[in-house]
Amino acid sequence: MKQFIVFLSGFLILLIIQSIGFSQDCFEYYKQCEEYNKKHYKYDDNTTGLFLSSYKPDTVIFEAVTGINYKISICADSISIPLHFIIENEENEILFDNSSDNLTQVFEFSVNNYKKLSVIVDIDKTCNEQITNCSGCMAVIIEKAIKPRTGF
Amino acid sequence: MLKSRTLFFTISFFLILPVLSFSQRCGSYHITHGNFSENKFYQIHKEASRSALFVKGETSHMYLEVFNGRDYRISITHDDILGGPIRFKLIDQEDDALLYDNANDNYTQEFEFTVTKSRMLIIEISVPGSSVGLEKTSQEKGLFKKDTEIGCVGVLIEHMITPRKGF
Repeated sequence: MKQFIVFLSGFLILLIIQSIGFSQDCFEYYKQCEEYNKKHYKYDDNTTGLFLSSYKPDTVIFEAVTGINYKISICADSISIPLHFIIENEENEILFDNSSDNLTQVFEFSVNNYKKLSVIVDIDKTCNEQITNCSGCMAVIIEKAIKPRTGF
Repeated sequence: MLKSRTLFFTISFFLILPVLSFSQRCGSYHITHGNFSENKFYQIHKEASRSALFVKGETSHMYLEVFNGRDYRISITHDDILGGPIRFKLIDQEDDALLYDNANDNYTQEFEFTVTKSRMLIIEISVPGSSVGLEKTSQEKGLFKKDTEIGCVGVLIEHMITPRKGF
């Protein structure tokens, strides 16, 4: 019995270390995606790297306020297919779905009132791992810039 | 004390810098892209001339005080991304009377006139087309796709004393 508990503990520790290792490997992945960072924009603190597989979607939450332009970029060079993402509000209403915009990997927008938004990224479940890379590191890059004033 | 003051000014400078760079995006567009008159008597009306960022479909106003005994020339320049010719109107501020509309003049982008009575004019500038950003008030819940068709419009105003005619 004691041996079993030791074995189980060891196994769990290994599992945790492995998952921490994976997430930390991907955590700073966004730093490799600097070409996405254009003039005038600054990274939002919620910009992050994730390990994405076809088994489960991942979510990044951030707050959007008026007077700011936001730019969401999905950077996933190691995954061979364009990623699907949606942006939802707190009531789980879909405000943007990139499948209705040719699976664009970049979306720039503004809001006219405060919103807590979730970016939910997933890989098409029909993705065939034997043909193409269906998992790997990816980054959800959230950038923001002051919305320029227009008119006189 | 001195150090903290220096730190405060340094931080303030870097905070203000991005705001300034945005506002100066079109700052002197009317000069750098200006369509100046070949008449050497015209002078730039620096206080009244101005430039601003516009999106397609946007309308904005500016004011111009004109004086009796002076000639004025208004010329409009704009970035190609904004498309067709800019519409501009001159409106008398006192009674809202329309004094000039370039839509009745083949959308000419320059107009010269003589003033016989001093008054305050409203120059109304309208960029043709439409923009998603301008429709935002009707959509409370959504996200508004960023306007990519955004560009500068410059309004150059030149003036001179009306030349005396005859002997």
